[in-house]
Amino acid sequence: MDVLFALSAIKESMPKLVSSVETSNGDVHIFTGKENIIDFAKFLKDDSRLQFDMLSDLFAVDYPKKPERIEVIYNFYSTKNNFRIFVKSRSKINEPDYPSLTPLYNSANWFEREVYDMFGLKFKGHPDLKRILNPGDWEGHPLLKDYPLRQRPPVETINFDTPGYVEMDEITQKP
Amino acid sequence: MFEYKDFLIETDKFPLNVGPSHPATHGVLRVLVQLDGEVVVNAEPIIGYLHTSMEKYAESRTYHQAETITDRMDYVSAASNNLGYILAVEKLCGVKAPKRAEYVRVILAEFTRISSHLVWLGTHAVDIGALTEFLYCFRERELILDIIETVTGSRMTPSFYRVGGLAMDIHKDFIDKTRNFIKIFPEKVSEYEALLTKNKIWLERTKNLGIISAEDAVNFALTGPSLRGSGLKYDIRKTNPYSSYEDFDFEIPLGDTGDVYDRYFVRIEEMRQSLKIINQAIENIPAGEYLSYDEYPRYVIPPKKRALTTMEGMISLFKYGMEGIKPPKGEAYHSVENPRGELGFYLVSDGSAFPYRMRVRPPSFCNISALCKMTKGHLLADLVAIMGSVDILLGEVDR
Repeated sequence: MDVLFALSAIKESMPKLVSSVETSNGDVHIFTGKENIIDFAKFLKDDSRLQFDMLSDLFAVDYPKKPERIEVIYNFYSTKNNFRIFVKSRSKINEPDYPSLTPLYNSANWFEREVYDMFGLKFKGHPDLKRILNPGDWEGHPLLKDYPLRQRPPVETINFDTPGYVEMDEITQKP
Repeated sequence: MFEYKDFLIETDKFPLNVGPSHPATHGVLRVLVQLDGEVVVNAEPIIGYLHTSMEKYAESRTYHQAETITDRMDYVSAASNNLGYILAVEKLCGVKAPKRAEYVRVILAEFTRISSHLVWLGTHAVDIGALTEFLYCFRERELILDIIETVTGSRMTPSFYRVGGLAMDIHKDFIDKTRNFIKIFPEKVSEYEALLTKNKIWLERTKNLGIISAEDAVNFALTGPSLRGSGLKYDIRKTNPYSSYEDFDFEIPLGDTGDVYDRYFVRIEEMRQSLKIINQAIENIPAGEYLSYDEYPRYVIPPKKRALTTMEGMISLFKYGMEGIKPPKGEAYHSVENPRGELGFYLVSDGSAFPYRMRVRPPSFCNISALCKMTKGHLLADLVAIMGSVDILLGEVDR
């Protein structure tokens, strides 16, 4: 069975959620609205024909010229059927309710933190949304296209009293 | 004057910092552990100490320059990383490398798998307390690095692949050294196993420890030996063969319970299977070109000999050197089976000579995210064993 079977199954069962489909270089990309992401992921995970049980990757691409500039790309994989599809949705950076997939897939937890760190997109419903690769007090979101490649803050603006560590108390207070 | 109660500490909610500079974290991983007595209640990995923003950096490099960044990501298995990246670029351009180049790529990728597993085995054994293993492993790793140096000119950062083939052809010295290695290595693996596999101390320290079930492992997007240790047969070399892996006969070793010992067992077996692949590849290496310049002159650099003897070859080499290749507009994802798991590269091209976006799907990043799940309820001393068994590499976690 190949991925085109999965695509036809998705189109047949969930015609409302699929806004358009693109195939490039043998990969299937499905576009959907951000409000449908959770329903779509639930369907992909639970449907007996598909069983997309692994969220293999989640990342974003920045297109600054478009009105909804962040494109979030989900890479779903089915270990049982060997299907791989890419689900895409668009969003503004300061979108207040972009849904989080962490309740469905544990792997989404760190991926969403990385997207937040690099692009500034806040996921609603994420249990612990904070920076992951950059220090906690870092300014700006490096992978945005308007973030300069070679620029450092002047040395005198670095505040050495509050280094970028996550403070120990903050974490240990949590259950 | 102190009283007795001043020296009492709360032991049911005791925070402890492991790392970022700790020998058992294999780099600069920091784990914030919450202890109840000596039992781990919560272990949160804090990463980012080695972050160099390679994904951002790649956006300002040409496609061939960006290959050198992938070396630095997973620095003990660099040739595997190069393979994943180059295959993604080739997918973007629609280029296919000649059979000879694919076989050489497979040999190098499998060599790095063995060398990476050797580094893992040595350091993991040291973490648990078996120091001799470390010396044995690094002895054979040196042989592998020697072979890689023979063919690529560099021990750790080869960057030997080009779009549509290799940088240069292989020579007889490489084949001789590889054959010699194939001859001596099987008994060395038995030597490693003789020290550990049935060792009572090793079994006590690794059996029934850090168990993760197959469902949980898939939910955390674990891949590689960490997933196969739980008994799920997912290996990209078999499920989606790339670079002529379908030509070779090899098996995928599987564990059953998903504990530290199973992950150890899977990796030991994988070394034997990798050697089997190398043996088949080196004996059946096809003759012919090592670059598919004739089929895809638009994207592939000319072989050095043609560049130096023909006019059009010289011009096109100059053009690729100055401008870089320009893949058509589009997106491509390609994943390979790295020693640590599924390493994927997602490339977005806008038609220029620089990648618009290079996304790396790092296997170690996902594998370490399940650390809390694996360590809950175990002793602090076992945290080190579990952390070692998932085989992370911080250069790749942080990128």
